[in-house]
Amino acid sequence: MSDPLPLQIVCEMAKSLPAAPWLLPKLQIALKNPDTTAEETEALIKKDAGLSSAILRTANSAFFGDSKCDKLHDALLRLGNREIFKVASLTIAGRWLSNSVTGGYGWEPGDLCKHSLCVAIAAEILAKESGQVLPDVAYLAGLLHDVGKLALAYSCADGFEEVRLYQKEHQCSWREAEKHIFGYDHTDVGGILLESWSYPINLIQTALYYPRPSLAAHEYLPLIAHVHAAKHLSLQLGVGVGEEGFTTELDESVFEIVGLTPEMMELAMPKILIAAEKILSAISAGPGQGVKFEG
Amino acid sequence: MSEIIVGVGDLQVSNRADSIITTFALGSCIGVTLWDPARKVGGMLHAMLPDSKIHGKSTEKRAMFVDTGMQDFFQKLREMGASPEHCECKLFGGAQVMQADNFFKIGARNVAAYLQIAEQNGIRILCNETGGQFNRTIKIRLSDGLVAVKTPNQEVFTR
Repeated sequence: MSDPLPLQIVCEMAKSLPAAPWLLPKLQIALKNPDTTAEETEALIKKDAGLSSAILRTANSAFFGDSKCDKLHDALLRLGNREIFKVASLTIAGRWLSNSVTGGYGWEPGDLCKHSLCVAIAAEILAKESGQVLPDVAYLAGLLHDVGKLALAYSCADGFEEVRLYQKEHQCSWREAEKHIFGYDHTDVGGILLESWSYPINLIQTALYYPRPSLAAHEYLPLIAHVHAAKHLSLQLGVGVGEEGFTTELDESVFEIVGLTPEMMELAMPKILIAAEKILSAISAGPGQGVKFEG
Repeated sequence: MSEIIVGVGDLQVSNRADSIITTFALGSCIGVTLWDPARKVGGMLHAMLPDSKIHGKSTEKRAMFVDTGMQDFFQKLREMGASPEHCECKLFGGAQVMQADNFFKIGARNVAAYLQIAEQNGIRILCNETGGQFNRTIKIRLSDGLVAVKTPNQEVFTR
């Protein structure tokens, strides 16, 4: 491998990937502000044709009513701010996370998006159970926790063989191996990316510290511990997990601090699976589609 | 040839020798294949947790759990004329994150739960490819019981 790219270059290269999620924090601010008018929300959403279409599709789903809704304005009124933001999170972040970067972590196409969705759903379910964190915030933090991995796989793919060898030799976490080989790791990249897109500090802290929640600022520990637990529950399911997944750092001591008991996590697993299946069933290509018998 | 997909917490059995049964990305879940060489009947269970007892209503999806999933697996095999005790069994999955020291030893708990059930029911285990720190996608071919295994960034191998 040639000399590692500077961290700033890795982040700049990632911004050139299609469908960067820059609109999401702007939308979050607008939807939280009671002075934002419906017209202003509509104008913001119209900047993204894919999102407008997803909002209309959701408003016309059986869950939201029988009558046809063919105007964006009406769809927004029907859904309400909470649901609008949920659709926007999934559409905008999911699209970026679906960029086809298959080298590096051993992902099949779509794997990062599927895994991130599982973590988002798991974090939301745990937050509802514990009552310690807002479920919507936990969902978004889970969805975005691994954004740095996409950037690293995109710009530093030729260094991953060294990461792989270093991790195997030293039996360390994959993140530590990245740090040793590149001088930075995917959490550094994720933190800078979210900051550059003006995401709030709690989400930046999550991207930076989700593998090591005890290092985060104290006020963000509950959120990050929920994402940490959600990450590991999702790893157990295996969906979209790359080569590095099971070498993610685990700190089981933080769960008790934020009220997440083993019983709560075990009971959450079937709920996570059922909720994730509903969303993932729309994504047809499963991992390992290319598995064939030899000979 | 027909391909049957087994989801997470799912069970499929077939008596069509031209079938291939597949499950994707076993993490700490276990994938159990049972195949009767005489009758060319076989199937696959993808179970997520060892024990159904604490889950109450969730047991509607019985294949999520090793205990209830295996009960149903044996019953379905018998309905298709196969005898579980005459089947070849292969076991996969049960991966575990590096630093698990408490709750997150789920992979090992799943494997232990299965091995106990296998022993109680006289099941012959031909292959036990479990543990490690990676997920596995597996396919069983019912014409000969061969199982293909894929892990991220590695070549496919058969068992």
